[in-house]
Parts: sequence; structure tokens; C-alpha cells
Amino acid sequence: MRVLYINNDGGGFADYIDVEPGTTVQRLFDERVKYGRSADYLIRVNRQPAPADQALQEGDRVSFTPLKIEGAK
Amino acid sequence: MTADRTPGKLARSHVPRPRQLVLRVRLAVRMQRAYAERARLDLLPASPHGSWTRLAHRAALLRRRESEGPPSSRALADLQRRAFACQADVDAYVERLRNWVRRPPPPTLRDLYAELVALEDEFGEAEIDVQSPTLAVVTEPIELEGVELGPFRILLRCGSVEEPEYETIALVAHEPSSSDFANVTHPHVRDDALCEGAGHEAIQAAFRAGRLCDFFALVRQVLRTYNPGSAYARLGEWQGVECTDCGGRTEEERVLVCSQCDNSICFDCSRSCTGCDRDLCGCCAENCSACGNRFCSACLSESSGAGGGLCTDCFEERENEREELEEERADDESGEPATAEPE
Repeated sequence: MRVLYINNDGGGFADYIDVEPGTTVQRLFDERVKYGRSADYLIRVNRQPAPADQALQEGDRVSFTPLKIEGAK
Repeated sequence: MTADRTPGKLARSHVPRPRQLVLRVRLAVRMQRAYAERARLDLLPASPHGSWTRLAHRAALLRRRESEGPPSSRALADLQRRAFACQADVDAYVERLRNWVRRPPPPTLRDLYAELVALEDEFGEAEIDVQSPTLAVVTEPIELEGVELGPFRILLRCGSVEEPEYETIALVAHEPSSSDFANVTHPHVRDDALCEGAGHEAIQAAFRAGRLCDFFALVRQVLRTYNPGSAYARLGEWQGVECTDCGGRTEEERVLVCSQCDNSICFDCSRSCTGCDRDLCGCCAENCSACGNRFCSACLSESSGAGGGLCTDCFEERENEREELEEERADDESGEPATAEPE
């Protein structure tokens, strides 16, 4: 099934991807964010906060936004 | 987690006030038009035709002249330079083409409306001004490593969707005291402009795609993060004790207390009473009108008229002079010289 996956880390990524039915938010995170902990991200499914064990549905919009983003001067 | 099921207490985004609903729709319509127009003008990138043509012409020329002899080393070096330049142009074109193919489609009206709803869920409230047009949210009070910087208003101008034009305005003026950091309201905000640092590309991408809630969330996350390695002012500038004389902030260990008014003063601004050696601030230190040294009020006599106060030594000296003068005057009046001076 296809979901819209948005990763706001680094340069940002937003595109539709294929995931297996029953994929949870945590599993998608583990697959896509290799070097990070889900606790360090704002996780939203369809623009709403979502628990890690929530199973994704066809057409869902999932976004991961890092809690810490270093500004500069 | 338990949801509030009290009747009539649903989240505001679910039961929007009629005016807020209208404002959302009107702003979404306006922004959707802007995004659609930008997409219409965003044409397929031009290929590096000129670069290739120049290379092909030069190669053909050299081949035609081969019958006259091998090309010079200078001509071959020039051809190679053109080939590398052409290769670089093609590589850049491939990258531009890839980005163009993968560019997000313009957000739909439904997308933008949903973003505005989500924004209110995320921040509690969103200020929509359709005339300007602007969209603003207020963060929670920002605290970095124990330093309170207060809430920030993130104000996005929505007239253009090319680049995000926004301000991060500190709602509680709390700047470092030193004048070196004028208009710095956050380690990464100066003149209401956030230096996005590591968040720059993601912020730009979110805005260009019409992901307004992500845009504001990313800006907020930068505000919530402190990067001491690259800051307009380090957090230490907000900490410490403020010197009442110069206004600068100093570590507590490097601050003295004025013995008269109890104000805090830094070492550089502190003064000592010449008489009793107590610490004084600039307001409480007074100069002796005779010798000019600094004294506390206890070590200065009452002001003796226009000349100001005198320290104990100068006061005694002046008293002695005065007594001598009075004696001389008394002697003059009695007709006898105060001291018999030989002729």
C-alpha cells in the first residue's frame, strides 16, 4: 500500500512510498530513519500525533520532524 | 491518555467559529492560487545546449584540420577544458531535471485547509489575516538551558510562495544586556530574523510544498534548540547578575554590593571609599570638593555650601584655616596684631 512519507530531517523528503500492509509507525521509522530514536521526533499521522504502534492505512500521511534542529547565526 | 469527553468541549479545530472557518477558506483559496501560478510558471529546465554546441564546434574544427597535422597541445588542452565544462553543465542539468521531476505538485485547496486546521491543533491558535495576507502562531515560552526567552510569534507573509518570508518576534523583550547584542532576542534570532542553520532546507521545502504546519513546526523546533557553536549571543549573555552601573551581566562571583544602596555592581564599575574602603556604586560615590577623592556619604561632611562635601581631612584643614582667620579678624578688631612680627 502507498503512504505519503515526509521526513523533515536534513534537506527534507516528501514522497509517496510503498509499505507492507500492517506496517506500524515505529516500523516505518526504524526502516526509514537509520540513525535516530523515535523519541527524538514529532510523529504525526494525517497531521495528528500518533502512537508508535499505530498501524498505517492506505493513503496515510506520515511525518517525522526532529525535536532538535540547530540554528546558526 | 484520556480524551476530554465533556459535551461542548470538543477541540476548537473540530468546531471552528464561523469567522475562523471563513478566514481559513479565504486564505487557503488565496494561497492555492499562488501555488498553482508558481507551478504553471515552473517550466522544464533548459538543457545545456550552448555548452554542448561550443564543444562540438571546436571538436569538428580540430578534426577538419587533422589532415594538416596533429592539433597543437594548446588546442587539445582547450578542447579538454570545454569537454569538462560541458560535463559539469550536464551533471547540473541532470540534478535540476531530477528535482523538477520530483517537485511536489501544488497543494490543493483541501490540503491547505487541512494544514490550517492542523496548525491550530499544533499551536492552539492561528492568526489569519486575509488582507495582508499573513498567518501567525505563538509558541509556548521558550526556555533554553534554564534561560527564559519568552514566547515567540512566528509571522508568515503569504503573498508570495517562492520563498518563505517570515519573522520570529519575541513577545517579551528579553535581550542580553550588552549593547553588542542589540536586537538579539534568541541565540539564533536577530532583528526578528531566525537563522535557520540545519533547518534551512527542510523549512524551505515544507513551505514550497504548502506544508504550512510542518513549516511552523520546523521554525519552532529551531527556536527550541540551542547551538552554542554558532549563536548571535551565547546563553551566558542572558545569565548572571546585572550591574546597575553599566547594565552588563556578570557571573555572581564577580559582582559586589554597594554598601549604601545594596545595588549590584561589577568589578569594573565598583569604587572604594578612600576613607573607610567600603564598596560603592557610581551613584553613591561622591568626590570630596577639596581633594577630589571618592568617599561614601558617611565619610563626607555635610555640604558646606556650593562647594559640596568635604572628607574628614579636608574638613579639619578647612576648619583650622577658618579658626585662624577668625582669630586674625578678632585681633584686627581689637587693634592688636595676632602675632608680633618684627619690622
